[in-house]
Amino acid sequence: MNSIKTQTIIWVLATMMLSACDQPISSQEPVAARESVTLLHYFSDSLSGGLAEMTQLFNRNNQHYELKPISLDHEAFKSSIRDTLKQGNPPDLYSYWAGARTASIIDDLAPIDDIWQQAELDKLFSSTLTAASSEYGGKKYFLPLIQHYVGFYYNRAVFASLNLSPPQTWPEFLQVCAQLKQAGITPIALGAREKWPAQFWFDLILLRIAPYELRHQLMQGEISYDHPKVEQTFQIWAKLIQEGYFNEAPHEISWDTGANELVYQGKAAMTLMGTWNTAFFTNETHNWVVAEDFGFFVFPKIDPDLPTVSLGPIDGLVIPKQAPNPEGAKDALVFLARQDTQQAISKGSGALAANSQVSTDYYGLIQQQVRDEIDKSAFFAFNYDLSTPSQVAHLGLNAFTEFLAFPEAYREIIKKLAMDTQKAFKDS
Amino acid sequence: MKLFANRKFQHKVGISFALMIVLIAINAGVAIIAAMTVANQLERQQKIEHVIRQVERTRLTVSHYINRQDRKLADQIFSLINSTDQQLKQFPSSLQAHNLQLLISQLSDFRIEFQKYVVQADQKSALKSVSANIGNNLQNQLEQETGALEGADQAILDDVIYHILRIQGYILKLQLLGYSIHNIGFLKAELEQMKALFSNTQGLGLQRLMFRILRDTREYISSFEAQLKYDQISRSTEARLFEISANIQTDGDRIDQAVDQEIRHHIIVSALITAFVFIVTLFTAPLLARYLSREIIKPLHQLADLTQKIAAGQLDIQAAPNSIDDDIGELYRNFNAMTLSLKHSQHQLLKKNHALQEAHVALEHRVELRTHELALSNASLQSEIDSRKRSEREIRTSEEKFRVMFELSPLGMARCKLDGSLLEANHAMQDMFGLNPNQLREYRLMDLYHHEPDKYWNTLLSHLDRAGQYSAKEIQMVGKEKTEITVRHNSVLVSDSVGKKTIWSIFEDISEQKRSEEVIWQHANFDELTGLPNRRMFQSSLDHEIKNSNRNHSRLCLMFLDLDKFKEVNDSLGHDTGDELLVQAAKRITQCVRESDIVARLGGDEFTIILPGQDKNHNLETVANKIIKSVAEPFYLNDGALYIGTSIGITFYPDDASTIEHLMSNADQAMYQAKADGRGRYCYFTRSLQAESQKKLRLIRDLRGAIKHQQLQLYYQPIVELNRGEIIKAEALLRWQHPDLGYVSPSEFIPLAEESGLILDIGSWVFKQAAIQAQQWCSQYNNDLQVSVNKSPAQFHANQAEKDDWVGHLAELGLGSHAIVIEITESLLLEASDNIKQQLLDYRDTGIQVSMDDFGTGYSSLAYLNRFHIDYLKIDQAFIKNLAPGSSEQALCEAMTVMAHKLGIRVIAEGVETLTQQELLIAAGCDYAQGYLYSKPVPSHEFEGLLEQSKTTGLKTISS
Repeated sequence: MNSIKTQTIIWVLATMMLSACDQPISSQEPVAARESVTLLHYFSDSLSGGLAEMTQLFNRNNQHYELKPISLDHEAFKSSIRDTLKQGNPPDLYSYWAGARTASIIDDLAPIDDIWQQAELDKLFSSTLTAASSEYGGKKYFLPLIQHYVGFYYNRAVFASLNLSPPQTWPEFLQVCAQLKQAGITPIALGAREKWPAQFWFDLILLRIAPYELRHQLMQGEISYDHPKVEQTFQIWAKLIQEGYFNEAPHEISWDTGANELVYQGKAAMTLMGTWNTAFFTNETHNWVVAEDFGFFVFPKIDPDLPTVSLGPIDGLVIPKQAPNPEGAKDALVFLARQDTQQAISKGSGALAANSQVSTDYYGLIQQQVRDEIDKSAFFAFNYDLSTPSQVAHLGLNAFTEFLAFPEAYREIIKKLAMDTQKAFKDS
Repeated sequence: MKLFANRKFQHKVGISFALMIVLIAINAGVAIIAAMTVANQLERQQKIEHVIRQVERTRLTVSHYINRQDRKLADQIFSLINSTDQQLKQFPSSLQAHNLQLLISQLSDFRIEFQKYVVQADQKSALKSVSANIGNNLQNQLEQETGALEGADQAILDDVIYHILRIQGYILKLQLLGYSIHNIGFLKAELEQMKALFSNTQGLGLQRLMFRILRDTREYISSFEAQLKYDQISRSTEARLFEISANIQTDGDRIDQAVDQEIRHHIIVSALITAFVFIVTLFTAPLLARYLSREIIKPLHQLADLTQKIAAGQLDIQAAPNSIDDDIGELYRNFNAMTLSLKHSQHQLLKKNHALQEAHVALEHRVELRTHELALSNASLQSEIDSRKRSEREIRTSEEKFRVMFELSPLGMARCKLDGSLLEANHAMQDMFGLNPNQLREYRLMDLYHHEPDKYWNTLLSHLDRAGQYSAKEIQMVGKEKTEITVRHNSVLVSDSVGKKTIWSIFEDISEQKRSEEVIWQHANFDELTGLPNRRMFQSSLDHEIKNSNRNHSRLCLMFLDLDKFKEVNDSLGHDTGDELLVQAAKRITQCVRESDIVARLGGDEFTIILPGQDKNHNLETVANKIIKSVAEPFYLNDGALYIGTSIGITFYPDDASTIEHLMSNADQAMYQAKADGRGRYCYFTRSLQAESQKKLRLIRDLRGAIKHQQLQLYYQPIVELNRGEIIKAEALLRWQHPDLGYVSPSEFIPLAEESGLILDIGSWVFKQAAIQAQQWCSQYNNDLQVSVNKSPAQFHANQAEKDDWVGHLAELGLGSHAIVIEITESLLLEASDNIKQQLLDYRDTGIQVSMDDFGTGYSSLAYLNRFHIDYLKIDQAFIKNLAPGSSEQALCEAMTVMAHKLGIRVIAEGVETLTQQELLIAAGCDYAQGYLYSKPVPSHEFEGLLEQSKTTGLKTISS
C-alpha cells in the first residue's frame, strides 16, 4: 500500500508542475504605461515661473498621460518653431503667443473646436479673450494660459521721499517726471538692448492718443507710418527723451539686469514693463514686497475721451497638425484650461490666469489692479511685435532703437519706416 | 485499491486497462504541452530579439544623426522609436515585465531628449540664418553708403568697414575651426573700437548711420554669442542622449540575457516534467502488472493446480480459504463444493462405473487439451486486438502533434495536389502570401512564383519525380499585397495509405535576411557618399581583372586620380560642399569611361579607374583628356561656380608590375609626377619614375646613418659688417658627403629629411655642432661672433627646441644665448599658429636672436616682422643679383632697409658678388652682407683663416 501512496504523491506533484509550466502561456497581459505628451515651451530663465507647478499638478492627476515639458531658449523659439513645424516630427504641444505670431503658423496647427465644445470652454474664458487670442479664420486653435499686462513698476521709497503719488493723468505724469529730474533721479528707466522693451512706449502713447481701430489698421498695413497720429506719438515720446526723463543710452542696457536694477537701486524711479516683472522684484535676490517696496500703476490717460485699452501678450498652447499624440494633447489642453491649473501657472508667472473663473481673491495686489483695469477696458491689444507681421515688427523695433538715440531725427526715421514697412507688407 | 477488491473480474481487467490508457494519454498530453511551450517561448524570444535589434539600430542612427545632422535621418529615427515603442507596448509578456517597462520609459526619455536635440539643431540653424541675414544687411548697408561720403567721413567709414571685416573674418574662422565662449573677448574689443570711432563722428546723418551699423554689428555678435550658447546647450543634450543611449544598451542586453535564461529555464522544466511523467509511467506499469497477476492470474493458477490434483484423483483437497468476495472467491467456493460432491459421487460411481473411469479420464484429458488450445488461440487474438488499438492511438497522437506543429510553425507549410492546387496551408503560409483562408483551394502553388512560374513548376515536378524531394535555396515569389519576396522552398512527395500522391511544401521568407545581407554588402563594398566601389571592392575587382587579363593574355590599365585644389574647397567652404563636389566629380568621371571600366573611390579625393582589355593606348589618352577636361569644367554648388582639376597617373598590367601593390604604387607615383608637372594633366608610369622613387628611398635610408657614419659636415659662410668690413657672423650650412654618390646637394636631401622626419635629429646635430664651434671661436677670436643656424618649419612643429633644451645646452657650454641666431623662412610665419608664435617669443625671452631668410621673394609682409619680433632680415639674393645703379632693385633694397630699420630690424644682404653691389648696399644703409665676394661656405678650419685675416685687414683684403 506504501507504493500506492507514493504514486498518489507523484501524480499530485506532476499535475502541479504541469500547471506551472503552462502558466506563462495563459497569462498574456500587455505591459501598461502612461503615454507621454511632449510640450515644447519657452518659459525659461526670467520667464520660467508657473510651468513647473502646472506640470506637477497635471501629472499628479492624470492616469493616462504624462506631460513632459521641454524647455527652450525664449529668443530662438520665435523663429525655430517655423522650421520644426515645416520639417515634421513636432512635439504634441507648443507654447506660443496669441496674435500675429500664431496667425503666421496657423497652416501647421490643428483646430481645437471639438474639445472647446465638449469641455464647454466657453464657460471658462470670456468671449472677448477667446475672440482675441483663440480664433483664427473662424476656428479655434489656441488655448490661452496667462494674460500679461504692461504698466509702470515704481520704487515706492523714491516716490515717498519726494512725496509723490502715482500719476493718473498725463499732466500729472509730466509733473512727477519733472520733480524727479529736479531731485537728480532718472524718472524713467528703459533697457532696450533686446529692442522689444521700447515697443511698449510706442504702443501705449499711440493707444492713448488714437482710437484702438487706428492702431489696428496701422498694424495690418492699412494705414502708413507717416500718419499724423504716428508722428504725434513720436513727438510726445521725443519730448520725454529730450527733457532727459529717460536714462542715458537705453540701447546698451538690458530690461532686467539694466533698467530694473536702476529702479531697484533707487537711481531711477519707474519702468514700463509687463507683469512678468513682478517675479524679478520679488525673487530671492531682490526680495521686495508689493505695496511696501514697489508699486504698480497704469499708463496715464492722454486723451480723456478715448475708451481705455489694455496692452500685453497672451501666452497659451497650440497643437501642431502632425502631433504624434493629438488625443493626449487635447486631453492635456482640457486639463490645463481648468481653474486650479491656471491658478498654478498664474501664481508663478505674475500674470492673470486666462480662465475667468479664477477669483480675484486668489490674486496678489498687482494682479487685482490689473484685473480691475482689464475689466474696465474696452479693448485688449497685443503688444507691437505680436500684432504686426514679424518682418514689419523687425523694422519697427529697429526704428524705435534708432529713435531712442536720435529723438530729434524722428521725422526722417518715420519717413524711412513708412517706406520700408510698405515694402515689407507687400512682401509678407 | 481496496476499493476494487469486491469488483467483478471483468471490471478489474477493465480498470487496469483504463489506467494504462490514462497513463499513455498523460504522456502524450505532457509531450504536446511541452512542445507548445517550447514553440511559444522560441517565438517570444524571436520577438524580443527583433525589438532589441531595432533599439540598437535606433541608437546607431542617432549617433549617425549627431555626426551628420541630416533631417531625413531624424525622421527615420522618430519612426524607428515610435515603431519600437508600439512593439514594446504590445508585447505580451509577464516575462521581464519590469525590465521592459524600464526600457519603454528609457525609450520615451530618449525620444524626448532626441526631440529636444532636433529642435535645438533647428534653433541653431535658425540662429545661423538670422546671423547670416544680419551680416548681409550690414554688408548691403555699407555698400550703399560707401562712395556716397566724402573725405574724413569716408575715412571713418573705411575704418568701420575694416573692423567689421575683422569681426566677420574672425567669426568665420571660429565657425570653421571650432570655438568656445572665450573667443567673444576679441569681438567685444573690436566693437569697443568701433564705438570709439562713433564718438568721433560729426553730423547727424553720419552719426545715425554709425549708430545703425553699431546696432547691427552688436546684434551680429550677439547672434554669434547665442550660437555659442546653443552649442553648449546642444552639447549637454547630446551628452544626455548618449547617457540614455548607454542605459538603453545595458537594459537591452540585460533583457536579452534574462529572456535567454528564462526561456532556457522553461525549456528545461518542460523537458524535466516530460521525463518525470515518463518515468512515473515506467514505474507504474510493472506495478499494475503485478497487481493484475496477484488478483487474477495467481488464484486461477492455484485453481488450475487443484484441478490437476483432482484430475489426479486427489479428491480430498480443498481450495485455500479465501475471504475474497469476488468472482474468483465464488469460483473457489463452488470448486470446494464441487470437490465435495465429486468425492461423494466418486464413492458411488467407483463401483458402478469403474469401467467407464478410464474412458472418462481419457475424455477429460481430451477436453482439457482442447480447452487449452482454445485459451491459447483466444490469448493470441486478444493480443492482436490490443496491438492494433495501440497503434491507432499512436497514429492519432502523432497526427495531433503534427497538427499543432503545422499550425504553430513560423514557416509556411502547404499541401497541394500534383496539379498545384492547394489542399491546405498553415497560418504562416497564409500570412506570407496573403492567402484568403476561406478560399485556399482556389489557389495554385505555381501562381505564387514571381518569374517563369511554369518553368519552376516543371523543375519542381521533375525533381519530385526523380528524387521524391525538391529544395530551392532562394526563389522569388509573390508575397502579400503582391510584393516580391525571397523564399527558401522545400517540397516532398508523400503518398497516403491508398497511394494517392500529394506535395508537401515548406516556405521560409528570407527577404529581410537578403535585404540586410545586401545592405551589408553594399556598405562593405561601396562608398556611401558617391555610390562608387570603395577600396575593398576596388581591390577585389582589380584582382579579378588581373586574373582575366592573365587568361586572355590582354593588358589592363590602371588610372589613379587625385582632385587638384579639393582640400582648399573642403577647408574653406565646409565638408558639405566638399562632399557634394565629390559626388558630382565622381559622376563626371564615370561618364567619361566605358560601362565595362570600373571607377572606384579610395577615400578622400582619390579615385581609381580599372580599364581592362587595353591593347592599344591611343584610346586611353582620349579618355584621360576627357576626364581632365570634364573635371575642369565649373561645378555649380551653393549658387556659385567652383573650379577644381584633376591629375592622373597611368600604369599597365602586366607591363609595369605584376602585383596589385606594385601597380598601385606605380599609378600613385605617376599621379604625383603629373601633379609635379603642373597639375591638370596625366602622366604614364615610367622606369625613370621608378628609378627616381627608388633613389629617393635609398637616399632616405642612407641619410638615416649619415650622422652616425660622420658623413655630415658643417660649412660656414662669413657675414661681414659693411661699415667696418669685419666678419662678425657666420651662417652654418650643412653638407653631405655620400660614400657612393659623393656630394649630395642640400636642396636634394633636406626635403627628404623633412619628409621622413629625420630633420629633427639632423637639426639637433647641426645646432650642437654650431654651438660648439661658436664657443671655440668666441673664446679664440671674437667674443661677439654669432653663428646662425637654419631651422626648418618641421622642427618648429615638433617643438624641438623645447625637447632638446637648446638654451640649456648653450648654458652648459658656458655660451651666451647671443652667440646663436636662428634663421627661419617666411612660410613659417604664414601659418602663424599659437605654438610657433610662442616658440619665437621664447627665443626672444631667452636672448636668442631670430633672422628671416630669403626676404622679398614670398609674401614679404612687414607686419609679420613686427608681430613676431624678428631681429634680422636677409634680403634674398635675387634682388642683389640684379642690383645696379638706378635699377628698381636698388629702390627696393633701399625701401626694405629703411622700413626694417624703422621697425628696429637689422638687414643682411645675401649673395653679394661684386664690389658695385657692395657699394650700393652701403649707400642703401644695409648693415651686413654675405656672398662669394667675401667667401664661399668653407670648412671650419678654413673659416678660422678668414677670421684671422678679417681681424687684421678687414673687408677689402678679404674681397681681394
